[in-house]
Amino acid sequence: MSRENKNATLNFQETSGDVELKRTSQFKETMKRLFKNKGAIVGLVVIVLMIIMLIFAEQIAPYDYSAQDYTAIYQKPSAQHLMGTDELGRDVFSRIIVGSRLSMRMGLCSVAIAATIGIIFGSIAGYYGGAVDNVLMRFLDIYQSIPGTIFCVALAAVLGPGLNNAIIAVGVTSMSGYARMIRASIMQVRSMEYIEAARSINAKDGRILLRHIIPNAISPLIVYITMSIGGCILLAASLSFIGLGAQPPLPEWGAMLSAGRSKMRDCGYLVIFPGMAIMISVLAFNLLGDGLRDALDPRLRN
Amino acid sequence: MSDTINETITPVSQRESLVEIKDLWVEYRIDGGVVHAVNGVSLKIHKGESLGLVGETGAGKTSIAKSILRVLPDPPSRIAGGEIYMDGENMLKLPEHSMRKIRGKKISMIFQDPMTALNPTKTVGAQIAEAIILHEKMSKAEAAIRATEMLETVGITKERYTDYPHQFSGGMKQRVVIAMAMACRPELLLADEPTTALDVTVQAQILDMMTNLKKETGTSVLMITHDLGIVAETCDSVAVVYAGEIVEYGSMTEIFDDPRHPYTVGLFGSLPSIDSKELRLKPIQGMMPDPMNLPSGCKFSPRCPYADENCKCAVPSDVTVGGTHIAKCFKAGEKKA
Amino acid sequence: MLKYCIKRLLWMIPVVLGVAILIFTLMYFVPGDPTAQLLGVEATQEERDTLREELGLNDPYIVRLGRFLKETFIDFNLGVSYKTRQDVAGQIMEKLPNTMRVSYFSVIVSVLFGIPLGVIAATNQYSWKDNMAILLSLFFASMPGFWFALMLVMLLSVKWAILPVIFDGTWKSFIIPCISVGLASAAGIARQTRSSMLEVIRQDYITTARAKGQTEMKVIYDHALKNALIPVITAIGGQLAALVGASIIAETIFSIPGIGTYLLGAVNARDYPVVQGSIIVVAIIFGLTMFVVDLLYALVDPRLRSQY
Repeated sequence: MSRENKNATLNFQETSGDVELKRTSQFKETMKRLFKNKGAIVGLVVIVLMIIMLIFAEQIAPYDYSAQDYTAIYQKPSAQHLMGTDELGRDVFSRIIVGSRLSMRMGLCSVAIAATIGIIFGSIAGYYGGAVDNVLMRFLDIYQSIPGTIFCVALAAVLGPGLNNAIIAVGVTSMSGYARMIRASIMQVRSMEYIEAARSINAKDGRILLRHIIPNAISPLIVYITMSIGGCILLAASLSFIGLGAQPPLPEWGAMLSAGRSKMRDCGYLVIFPGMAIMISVLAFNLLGDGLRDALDPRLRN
Repeated sequence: MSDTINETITPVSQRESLVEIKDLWVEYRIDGGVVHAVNGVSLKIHKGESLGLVGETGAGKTSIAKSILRVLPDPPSRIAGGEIYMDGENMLKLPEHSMRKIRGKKISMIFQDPMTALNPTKTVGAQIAEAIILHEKMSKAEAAIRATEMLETVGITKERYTDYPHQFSGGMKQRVVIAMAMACRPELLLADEPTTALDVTVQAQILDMMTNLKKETGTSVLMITHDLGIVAETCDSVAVVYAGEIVEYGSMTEIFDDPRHPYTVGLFGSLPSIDSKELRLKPIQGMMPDPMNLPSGCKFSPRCPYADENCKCAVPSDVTVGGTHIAKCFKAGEKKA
Repeated sequence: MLKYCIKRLLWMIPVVLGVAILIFTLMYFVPGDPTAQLLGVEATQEERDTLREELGLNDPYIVRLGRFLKETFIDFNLGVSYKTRQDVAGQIMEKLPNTMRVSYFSVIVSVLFGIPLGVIAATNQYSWKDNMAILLSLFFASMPGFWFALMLVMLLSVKWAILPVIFDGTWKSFIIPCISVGLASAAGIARQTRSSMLEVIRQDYITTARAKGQTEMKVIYDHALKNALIPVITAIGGQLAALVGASIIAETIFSIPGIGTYLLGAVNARDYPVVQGSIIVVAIIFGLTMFVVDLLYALVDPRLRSQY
């Protein structure tokens, strides 16, 4: 398998003695496999719908998310209020729609933070190896000895309540996964002989990193990022649920769940809808991530 | 070489038939289409016979063997047609529980790679004993004794009964595999390239051991290999497989002295020889056809130096060359070697 | 084997120390003055300053860190709660058993559901059973545990009233918390079991077992599963962190008197000795549990046994 043709797959077709070469790009093949996966398509569709929803939230939502109406508190779902109203008469449906912005923001920003910190951390450890690697890995061990949710809560406690603080807390907590992943990819490639060959002709370190290590690490990274968006949305919602994340009157789904809990007995809808919203968005990312994982690693399929 | 190398008195072809395969078809369904792995194979294995099944990788040899035992993974593989007779019964129609009684007892199989053939989490003794307990009415203790005896028969000390596979070398692992397969004295042993993964000296030991075992127990052996040297040493008869078909069959001397199918000729021709002054190896030109897209007419015709227009359109049938010697070729009548 | 155990346990010491330092440092940077809390709003500036001196809050970081480490690990004194004035260590010891019960029962639930689900999916690959199992796993993995718990409470405790609403120590009151926490982890375990089994089933020794005439049941459960279990144990270990986190939150929903409620209550009340102490204890227990998980490997895989 020639290394120059890393992006091509050779398909031999022998018809009565003639040999034909067909080159299909690896990317196209991956996409083809991805779209065969029904779950991934569902996930993708839901995510696209969510993006549309959050861009056009103001147009779609029938009410302003913070509009209070004291004459209509605790209304059950009806034609005027598709998902009912909460303790201040605000329309739950509108709040859920606007809330999608917050969830997306939480998911994407915290993943961005986690990925950045984690990749830098893991790259340094993996690339320099030796003592540097040892120290950094011991630090990661300590980091990971504290269960994620608890560490996140501690961080959020230090930073104080608020949506942005929650995002930072979730991001910093989640960085260890990225660190280990990048480090593993780098170590795997480092030991391959062609890096030694490149080094021996004096290729600069940065160049090696760019041209060899990154293409190798990209596939698992993409899958991991997609799956961890879902995880971060969940973690951030949990923070809001216990009061450390988004603060009222923000229509964040976790906070809405927490607020609706006391009236759960009579107004079940206050709890059902925000939770379903969280679940659907996380499920969409997980489905997509799953599909990506299967598409990028054909071994698991046949 | 004369036929007196065979210890038995009756020539193989006149002995009773043990297993008969009639017109077997096996296909695999994969993402891109259907792979035609075995295409109308008919074969007879006689009692006490060593039949060599020769061919390149991918010719369909393993599929044939696995079909006999019905251990093909279904899906994706499927026995699409044919019959396999043993003791008058078509095994392909037997219910699963009857088949289980045959596996390991009447017919055993050993696989190519000893490194992966044994369960890493069980002791070798337990794995041999498992085969015994499944088929013989014995207590666990008795089975353990018999398993220890089997270990010693293949040259492994009985202290190693409680050792795990990773504590053995490749050659010794293969001995354990053979012990496991022979533990219940099967009538037929399917050996799928048993020595391919071993180095040459160990290979010789294992083959010797197998020959001795065979002499003692009278077991028939289906020796699957791509190595003509092994065939020459151990087999009574040979069947040459190409693209899922038997293209030539005969006794060992018939095939080695007078190969009639161009593929067989090519196989012999591609062997390097110490005597002759060859400057280059002579491989058979071209490649085996894509089993998803087999050529029309004779499947070997694209690569055959003797092929003519007829060969590319019509499918050759079996031509009797003499004795038990059969070749599937329009030009079988012409001597080639 | 013994050497390995001792080595591993010794290794925990620097890790726990590291955790303590990390948490202490984190709490060090929290803004605000604890004396305000301890003395109440009416206290004068003088009183606050004296208290600060007494508590050593004006000492430099290193001195405070050293004092903290000595008190924690040599005196086993985790300080006194700012809010309740109770001894933190004592309180934690009281509440720990409840948390551990919830966590461990949840682990049992997740393994009991996860492994069979994974096996069914693997042995029926491509059939509806496989797709259903995968879907179920994804479903439960995406569901917020606390929401699932609330839904279960709404249905089982409020509507049908077959289970208690508030935790009262009876075995019945463990059911909803442990199921809601356990099922989410079960999903992760099912996935890993499935992919692990799929790889194992393709191995030659599985065909060998069949070729011996072994029944399919035994081939799957006796031969395949034992080998597939090794990465599954890794998965269980991996799930533990999330599981502990989820049970912590579950405690608040069900008012279970465990470390979770203690910790979260302290966080909201800015009761830092409690936060510090709880996290360190949780980290220690967690570390010990992972150690047990590592021991499990050696039990299942004879290749590892001979190494140690």
